[in-house]
Amino acid sequence: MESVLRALAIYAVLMVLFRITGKRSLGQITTFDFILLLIISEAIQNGLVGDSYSITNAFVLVTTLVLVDVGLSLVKGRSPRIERYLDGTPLVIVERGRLLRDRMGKARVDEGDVLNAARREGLERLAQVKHAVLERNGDISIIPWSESPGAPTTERPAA
Amino acid sequence: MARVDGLEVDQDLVFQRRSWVVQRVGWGLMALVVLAAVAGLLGSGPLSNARAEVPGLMTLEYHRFARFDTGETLRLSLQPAATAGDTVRLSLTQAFLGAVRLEAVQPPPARVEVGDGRLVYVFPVAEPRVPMVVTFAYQPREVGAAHGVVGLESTPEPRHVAFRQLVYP
Repeated sequence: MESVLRALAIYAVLMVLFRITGKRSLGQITTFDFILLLIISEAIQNGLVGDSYSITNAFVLVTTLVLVDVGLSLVKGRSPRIERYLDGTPLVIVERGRLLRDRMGKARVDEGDVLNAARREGLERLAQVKHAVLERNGDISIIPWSESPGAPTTERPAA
Repeated sequence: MARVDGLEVDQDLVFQRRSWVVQRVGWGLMALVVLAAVAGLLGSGPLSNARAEVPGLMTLEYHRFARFDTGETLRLSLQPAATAGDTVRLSLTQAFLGAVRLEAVQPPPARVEVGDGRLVYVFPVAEPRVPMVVTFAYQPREVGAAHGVVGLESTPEPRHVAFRQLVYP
């Protein structure tokens, strides 16, 4: 019983912690973010494992964690309300080419992040971005102008 | 390679549906594992708590299910009738002691005597006829069924309680 309670407690704590931290924490992961995650897992380990190094303990812990995750994903599928609390909502940060600076500031996303996402779509300049959305998983998705107004270079040059 | 509407993709719906079924069955099994763990079938929990007693003298509390290398205790509660003499002598079978790593006996015994297939822990009593609790803290070192007998040997006639513990890996 103790292992299950430990797993539930750690899951809940991490869930709340990372939800409070915000989307940026995991979306665009830097090397240091990655190292931080490793350190967090080390720090959590003792609390999770307790004084039991048995295989049974590890098995029960992992099963509980995975089951809670599956359970929550099923709940989220049924209830958009709960999904909102657990995963947050997408946020439009560029609307018809206009940067929504106040939102970007609050979400801790800057122009560079939008450009980064734009480049991954093969775009070169901010002017080519019609919409940008900060997704629930922290990714920025880009919708380019269909006939890129200030950017004739996106058109394939006529032969 | 199968093609769906010109899409070059390795889709196999029959296999996919089968995996979905397997997944759902798996979730059910996982839920059973967690329920069993909560109930105490895989370690601590309500179904794991057990007691054995000699009525009027002593009660032994232990866990039916334990885990390898994980802290466990045997808790012996002695009623006043069991502490009537000037010492209390408690024995534990060596077969059990050999299968565990004994970490502490609380209170510490004044001495330990070697008996036939058992160790006798001797506790001097300051005031006779007071209730007393003795705990043996240990970690199981052998996987499988462990079997032990606790004896109260300071009463005119020695009394014993036996217990069984299943140790998971």
